[in-house]
Amino acid sequence: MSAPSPAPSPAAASPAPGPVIELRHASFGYGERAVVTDVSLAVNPGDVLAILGSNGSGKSTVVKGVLGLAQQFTGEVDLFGMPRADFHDHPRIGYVPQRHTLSSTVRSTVREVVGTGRLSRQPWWGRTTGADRAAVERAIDLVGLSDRSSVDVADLSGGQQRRVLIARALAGEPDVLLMDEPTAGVDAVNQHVLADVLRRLVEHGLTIVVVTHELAAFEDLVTRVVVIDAGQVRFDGDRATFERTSTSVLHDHNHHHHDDELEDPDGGSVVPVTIEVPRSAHDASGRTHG
Amino acid sequence: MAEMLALDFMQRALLAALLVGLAAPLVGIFLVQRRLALIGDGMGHVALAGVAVGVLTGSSPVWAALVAALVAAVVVELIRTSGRSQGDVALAIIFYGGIAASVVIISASPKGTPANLTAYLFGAITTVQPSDLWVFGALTALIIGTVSLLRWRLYAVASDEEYARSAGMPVLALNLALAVLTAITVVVSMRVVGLLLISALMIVPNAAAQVLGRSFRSSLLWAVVIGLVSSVGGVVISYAANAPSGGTIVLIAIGWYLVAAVGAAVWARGRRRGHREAEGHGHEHGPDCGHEAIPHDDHVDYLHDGHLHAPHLGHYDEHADHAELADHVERDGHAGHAGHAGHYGHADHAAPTSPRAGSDRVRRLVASQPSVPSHRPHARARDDRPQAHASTGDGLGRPAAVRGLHVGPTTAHTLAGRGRDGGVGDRLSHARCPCCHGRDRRLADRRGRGGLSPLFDRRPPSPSALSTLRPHGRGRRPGCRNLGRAGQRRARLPGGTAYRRVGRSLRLLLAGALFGNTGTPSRGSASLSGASILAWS
Ligand SMILES: Nc1ncnc2c1ncn2[C@@H]1O[C@H](COP(=O)(O)OP(=O)(O)OP(=O)(O)O)[C@@H](O)[C@H]1O
Ligand SMILES: [Mg+2]
Ligand SMILES: [Zn+2]
Ligand SMILES: [Zn+2]
Ligand SMILES: [Zn+2]
Ligand SMILES: [Zn+2]
Repeated sequence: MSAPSPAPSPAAASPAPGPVIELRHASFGYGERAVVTDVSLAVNPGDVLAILGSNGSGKSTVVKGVLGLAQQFTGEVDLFGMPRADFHDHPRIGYVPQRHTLSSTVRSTVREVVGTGRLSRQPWWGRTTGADRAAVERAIDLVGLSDRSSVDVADLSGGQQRRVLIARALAGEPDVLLMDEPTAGVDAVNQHVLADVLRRLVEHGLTIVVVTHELAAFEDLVTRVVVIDAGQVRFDGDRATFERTSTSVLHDHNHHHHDDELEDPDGGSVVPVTIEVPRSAHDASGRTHG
Repeated sequence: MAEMLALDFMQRALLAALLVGLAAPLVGIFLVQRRLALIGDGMGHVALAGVAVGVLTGSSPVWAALVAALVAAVVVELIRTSGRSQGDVALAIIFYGGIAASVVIISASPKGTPANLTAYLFGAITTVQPSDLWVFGALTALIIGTVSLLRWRLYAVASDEEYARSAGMPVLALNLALAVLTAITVVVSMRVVGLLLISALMIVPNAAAQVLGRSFRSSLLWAVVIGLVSSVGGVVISYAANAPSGGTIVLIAIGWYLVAAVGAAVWARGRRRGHREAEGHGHEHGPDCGHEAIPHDDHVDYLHDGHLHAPHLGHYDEHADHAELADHVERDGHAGHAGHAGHYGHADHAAPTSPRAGSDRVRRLVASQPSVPSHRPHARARDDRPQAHASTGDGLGRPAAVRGLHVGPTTAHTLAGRGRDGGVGDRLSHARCPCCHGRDRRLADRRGRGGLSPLFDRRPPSPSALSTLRPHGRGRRPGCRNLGRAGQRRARLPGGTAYRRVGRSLRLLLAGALFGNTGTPSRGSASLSGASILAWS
């Protein structure tokens, strides 16, 4: 980079000009088996990218592939313009895994779990500073759990536990947030609160990749949609195009969101799209991820 | 006692017990967390083979055991990580191979019989050598140092390995570190606790601590305390009763566990009787839920149709009835305060000369304030607040006084802040309040000095990071110049009557002593959370 000597400001410098995440002909899978093949995808700074697709289509596998949690067979993954193997600035990426509950073998308060999201910003020999503590409290506050920050996570409901996982990802103050079904099991009010929070973060330059079955939960936030089907990218385009073609892309899985009376009516352009899946399929997938 | 302490071997045994009692629970908590409670047992088996080799060759059994346990630890962890379905069987082969080999090897040695192993298996106080103590001391220092440096990383890996990997933590290295720590603990324990029983000293104190603690931190502290009491107490009793020390130590630890479990059950029942649950409560309170959040001792109450609801486990507790609320209001002399509003309403914006004037001021502010346009589902609950507000301080009967409580932190403060810089600023001005938020100012300063990324920097400080609010009179600091003379006097008085004060501190003390509220305490939990999201939007 040949920046002029008086660098504009660190904030302006942080969203690199190129894509934040770039996949080129990447295949990911587990063990010997490739689950998604030949995925090419570029996530640009400021994008709010929704990944849609039916159960087992490989959405989570793509996210895990980006993070290096799934096996990569072919292709390249670049993070912030660097090959993933050379990328070590882990706090810039926040991850919300697709899991419904937290492990509760030992007592852990909300604050302690969220605090683990901050560790990547601390040197291993270093102590927790006031800034770290403030970031953790703010992350808890953002997901609306500050009145329960000293509660054992095992005593929280499933939706509250999901919000703890979101707070954990936010505690590291990431530049990109990869969220795997963050709103599953979160009620309408808190989905709305979460959408508000994400909107503010996006305004401050956060890039978001979100796997979801309920586009409506993110209101008008989503700018781009990627549909994955049977391990292949079937659609990649902006929101408007997606909504024009959604019936054909999503076959007959397309239903309208029934809760949208609760939502804000003044964002008139929001057309709620929900891909609903049979209950049984949900349960089956829960087992594979458990 | 003095006679016992005068004995050389007892001094050594007590020191060794101190070291084991400290080290074993520190390592054990991560084993419990990873559901590997029995792995220490297996390593003890392998260490025994090392002991046998030491006896046979005439070298130090401690060093031989250390080598054997370390090798076993690394191999076991690598097998576990490989995730092969036969891994479990492989572990069994290693562990039983260890104990079988030790029996055979020791019987091959000229002066050894399998009976010699008993002291190593179950511990004996007479066996600690002076040279052992140095080794044990160094190893224990290593354990304490490593755990205190890496405990949150070990915790993170044990609680969510996949997430830890995504965050770039060296997961394999941390898992190996834990395995090595386990092996070292096994060796440190081999003299007084015994190789067959060490696993118990790693696990049982933690089991008891899980009952007593309220957080990872506090349960770890409890585990160390219980481990120390058990191991040192066990050595003393085993001297007096002439019993094997290892068995005595473990029995004492189990005794603590039973006491803790029964005590907690009794206490929980007492509490269940003592606290009232809000019935049929379908709504989940939280920031933005539309109900007033009112800090109360170490938690937040929500003002819900005239009741105070406090989140508790899966339900809500009723935290004060109308009479108590009205009581606060009366004692404080003006409805606007009621323990909370005054704490805010004082001060940076309103600076009332008298409480009544203050609430008048607030009332005028409210009257001139258009109702908050809101698109949130709870908007209605918020909308009717100004009316309740207007009736504040009119000296009506109890119901009005109770309604007066609606002048809580959110309303009064948000309004005042909005008057200045459009709503968001009220958090900031709070940070400037010299009376209640000195702590916040420090946090805000730190933030100003950087350390947080620019992304998060530009946002207003979060209320929960900001304030530790205290209820009632205790929230006021005598030095606060915004309080006025009456407020200053009241600030010097403790909140509540003497009777209540003593009762409360006794309760807190007792709860602290019994149930480990010592760890990550409720710092920040009594926060302004209810207003937080609101203030940001
Ligand atoms: N850990 C794993 N090991 C082996 N196979 C896996 C693993 N996780 C997922 N799979 C397989 O990969 C395929 C895609 O799974 P993936 O989790 O990516 O689906 P998804 O699109 O996220 O579905 P869902 O909507 O249910 O979350 C599935 O067929 C599943 O069986
Ligand atoms: Mg998935
Ligand atoms: Zn509420
Ligand atoms: Zn309360
Ligand atoms: Zn309620
Ligand atoms: Zn309760």
